[in-house]
Amino acid sequence: MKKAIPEVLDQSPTDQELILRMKSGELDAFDILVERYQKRLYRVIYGVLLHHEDTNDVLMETFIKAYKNIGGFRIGASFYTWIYRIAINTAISFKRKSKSSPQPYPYFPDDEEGKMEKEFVDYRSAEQAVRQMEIKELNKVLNDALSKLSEKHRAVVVLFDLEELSHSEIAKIMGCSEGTIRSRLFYAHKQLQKLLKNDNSFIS
Amino acid sequence: MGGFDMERKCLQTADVEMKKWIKTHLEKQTEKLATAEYFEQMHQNLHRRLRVEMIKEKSFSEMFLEKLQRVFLLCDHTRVFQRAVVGSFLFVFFLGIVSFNSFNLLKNNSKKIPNSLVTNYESPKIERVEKSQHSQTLVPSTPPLLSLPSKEDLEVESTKLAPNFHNSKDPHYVIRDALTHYEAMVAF
Repeated sequence: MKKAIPEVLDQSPTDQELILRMKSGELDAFDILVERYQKRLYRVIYGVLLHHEDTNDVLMETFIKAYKNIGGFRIGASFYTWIYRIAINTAISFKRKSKSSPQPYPYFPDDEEGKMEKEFVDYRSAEQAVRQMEIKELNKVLNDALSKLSEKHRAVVVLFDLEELSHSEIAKIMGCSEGTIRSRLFYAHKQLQKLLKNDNSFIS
Repeated sequence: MGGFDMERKCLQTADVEMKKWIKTHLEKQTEKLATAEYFEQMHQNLHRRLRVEMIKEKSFSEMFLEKLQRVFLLCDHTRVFQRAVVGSFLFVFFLGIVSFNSFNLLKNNSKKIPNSLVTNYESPKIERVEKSQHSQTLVPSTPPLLSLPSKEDLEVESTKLAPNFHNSKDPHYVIRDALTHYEAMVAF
């Protein structure tokens, strides 16, 4: 049974309503919140850890922490900032404790199948096949470059580039000043450019 | 100046390109790893973990009360009522069987003991107990007389009880056996 991941609809209850319901003992409200944020949180945590199994552990831990501490959540505050903060802090502390290195670019079986099909389709077009190979190579290069950054820098990059949050929002999530976020982001982008420039295949 | 601008423009486009690539790269990866099945499994695990956390935090009485509330408030009332009626009926039936059996037992026991014996036995016993209490308080070192069976009686009894061995009718064996029996009785 596949569950569709619901997006926030106009008629669906707001985060605040769900939190109020949760505080009054309705556990279904927490389920809705989990479904609403699971994908985004997974993306952020994966961006920091670059490891699927670790991401799974941290995601679970994040939701459990949120459930336990929902009583202390101030109504009127932004829920996503609060839960993102829990997720980022949990991921960084998990990384410190476990010291496991990021996974190399994962192998996806459907990638191969897709590649095969596309290879047949694009058999006549050599350029397309080359392009496919380049994309795969680029993914590996990007993964390597990201894994060379520290967790804090990766977190800032993920929150800014992937989640498209503002500097002030990231500052709230990370618990530091906007200036720190700007400098971290600048440093991370510079590092990434440097790492990717070294690899000639990226920026031509 | 123009060269500097060009370089800056190039860097900016490279930066934009890089950001785009990072975004698509991470999105693609997460889409492949975090499938609907994965989230379903994650939900199940999360529910299990939350249940464990709840159990850790709650005492037994709280859990018991919650269970009761769930049974009586959330369940179908007619079903609960039916169950309660059946349960009480079974309990009454069980109590009836137990009381009937105990009544029968008492009846049988009272039939076995004749009334005359009960009355004859009770009165001297009370007197004897009173007397022995008095004697114990006055004369501390007089043991009560035991009506021990005589040696001959025991010999006869032992021949009766002796196992049916080949040498069981041997007089020496019988006497020895009787003596040991007598000694055991005295020791007891």
